[in-house]
Amino acid sequence: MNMIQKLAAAALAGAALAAAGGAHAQTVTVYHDKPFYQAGWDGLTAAAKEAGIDLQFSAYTTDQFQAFIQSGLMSGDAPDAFTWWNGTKLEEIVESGQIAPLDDLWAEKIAAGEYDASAAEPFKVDGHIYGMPTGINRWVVMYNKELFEKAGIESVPTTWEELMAACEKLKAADIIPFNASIQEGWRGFVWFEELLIRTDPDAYVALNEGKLKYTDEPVRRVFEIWNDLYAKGYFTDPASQEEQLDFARGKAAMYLAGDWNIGLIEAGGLKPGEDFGAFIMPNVDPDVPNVVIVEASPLLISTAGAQKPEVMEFAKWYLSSDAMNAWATTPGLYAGNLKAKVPNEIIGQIADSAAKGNYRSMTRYWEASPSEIVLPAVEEMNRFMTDPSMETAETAMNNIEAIASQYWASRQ
Amino acid sequence: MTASIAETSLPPGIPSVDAMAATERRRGRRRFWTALAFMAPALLFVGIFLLLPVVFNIYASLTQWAKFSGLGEYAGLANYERLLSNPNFFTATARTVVWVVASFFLPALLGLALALLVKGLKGEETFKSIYFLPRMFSATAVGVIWYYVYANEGIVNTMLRGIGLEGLAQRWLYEAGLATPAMIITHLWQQVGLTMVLLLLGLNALPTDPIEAAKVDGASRWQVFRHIVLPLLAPTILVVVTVSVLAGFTSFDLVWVMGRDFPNRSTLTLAVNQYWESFRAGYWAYGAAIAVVLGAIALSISWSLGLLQQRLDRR
Repeated sequence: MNMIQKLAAAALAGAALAAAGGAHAQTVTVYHDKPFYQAGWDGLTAAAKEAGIDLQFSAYTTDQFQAFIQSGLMSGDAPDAFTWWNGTKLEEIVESGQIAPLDDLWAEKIAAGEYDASAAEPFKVDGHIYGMPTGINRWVVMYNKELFEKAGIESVPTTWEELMAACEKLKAADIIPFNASIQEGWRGFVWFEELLIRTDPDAYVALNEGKLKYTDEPVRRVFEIWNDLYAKGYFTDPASQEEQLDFARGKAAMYLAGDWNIGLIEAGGLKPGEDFGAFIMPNVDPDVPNVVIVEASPLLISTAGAQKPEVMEFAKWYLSSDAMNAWATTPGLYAGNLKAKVPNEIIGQIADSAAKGNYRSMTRYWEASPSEIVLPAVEEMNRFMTDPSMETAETAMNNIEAIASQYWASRQ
Repeated sequence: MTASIAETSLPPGIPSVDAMAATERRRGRRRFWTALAFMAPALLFVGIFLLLPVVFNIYASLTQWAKFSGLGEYAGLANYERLLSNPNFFTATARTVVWVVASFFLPALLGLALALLVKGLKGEETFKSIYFLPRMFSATAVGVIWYYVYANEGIVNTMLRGIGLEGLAQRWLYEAGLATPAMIITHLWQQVGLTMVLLLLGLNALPTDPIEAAKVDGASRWQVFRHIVLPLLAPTILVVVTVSVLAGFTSFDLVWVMGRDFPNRSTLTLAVNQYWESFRAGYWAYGAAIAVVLGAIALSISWSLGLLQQRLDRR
């Protein structure tokens, strides 16, 4: 072998090694708008490294994140992997044709007994599954055990009457019953949707599908109950910007929120299970079927990302119990993997109650209704919260209905 | 004929007028290209990062661009029509006018009052630095700080309660009538230091002779101020007003941080509404149309003030 041949062989071998090394060193970047789960992202990055996957996360604020993803998709240059929302928001992004279906991956995981088929339901569009869960979270009432005890409330309310009686006891003990804020501009719908599913879940579905008006009786009834709770002084000042910390500091005894807040409350100093528990809000009308709001947040893979072996390797790993343990334990999240540890006892208890009570899952209003209606509607609901009266409620109902009827008419 | 006379009257060896003119033209052209070469980086920068986005924005405002699609679909003037039929646009414009009017008078007035107060004082430099300090922070940081100043248990309400004026404690940023004035106060807190420093510079640069002469003639302090200082200071005041009005008109970060959660966007100005429509709601084309209107208004304001400046300069 002469010198030139030796050099050529060495160069080729070097190139092959570099290519092999390079393939493994390809970094997978996941974009998200949830910087408050930093501990979880860090946990995933570390666990991925052990599995030989070079993973990094890039955080944006929600507005910038949406703009970034929208412009990326518009220019045909979507990021490989990013978090998104389910419901109508998922439908409209899938419509762009740039999101990869993950049916095969899910089939494999379901067959292996790692997931129940129902875990994929929130991510289905036209029969295909898009995305993997970052969280499957129920919206429940968290309660401060010490404040309940102080007010002499012996057991968790299981009926609306018991809940109202508990509120009265709390008021008598000079404790505000409920924590509620319009922080970050999106929270206005939380009590609205909850009161609607507690009085008429079918009306909730009909409203989201444009088959019920915002000026119809079921909606008016929600505002009447909500207004009555405000009139009784059951809510904290909505102007607060520290909702989770307010609850952790004992500003109110109860807090209606997604169970993803458990980790954030824990960070504020209350131990889940020990200092605070949770229950599904009882129905106002005992005869209505049991339903619970479930927020399912997907992590999507773009069609461009699905072409890259390292991205699909990451996707497969992400759905594993190893990854889910790394992700879910620290921030207290649960993303549906049956072989993963349940991150805290509250989530386990709530899952039990939901199973025993045959609770049907309902998509959160934010994702269930078209965003063209949701955004202005939430603004109206926020306004009601800052100035609660039936007069504000009437204005809100009329204003939302004006937008909703225009939207549904344009879809026909 | 004239040329031939000129040609014949020139001594030999001297180039003709035509030839000289041609040389001068050549030189002029060369100078132009040299100047252009020097300006090229700046022109390129302005072209790519300013003019191109403006042209793209105008184009986008004529399309159906929303969320993930529609950039290639022509919408005519539909976005502008939607703007005119949207009550939010008019309320946002009205609030923008409040900001502009407040920015027109208040920063210059307060800055002038502070400049006159501080001028010649022992420790003038220290006062100048203290008043200028808020200008060193970004508007976002100022917005966050003042959000807590105005909070229910913030410094304003705590002070009011402390001195027995509990009835005056308010939800400053959550009452329709209070939120905009509260934000304008914050804006002033940040802006006044700059206007004060500019006006102090102007005051210190004034010629002393006319002032001394007026004093000798027996003019009162007010008369000196009104008839001598103020007219001489007019160009500086105009600069201050221009800077303040444009700052107030385009005020974004402060309003976004302090007022974005206020229900129904009731505290938002045009600039913030434009951001809301584009970035939060995903109506890119509609947001672009608001931006075009906003740009046209800002341009006309700065143009009018520029014309005024020219007239003052000529005087």
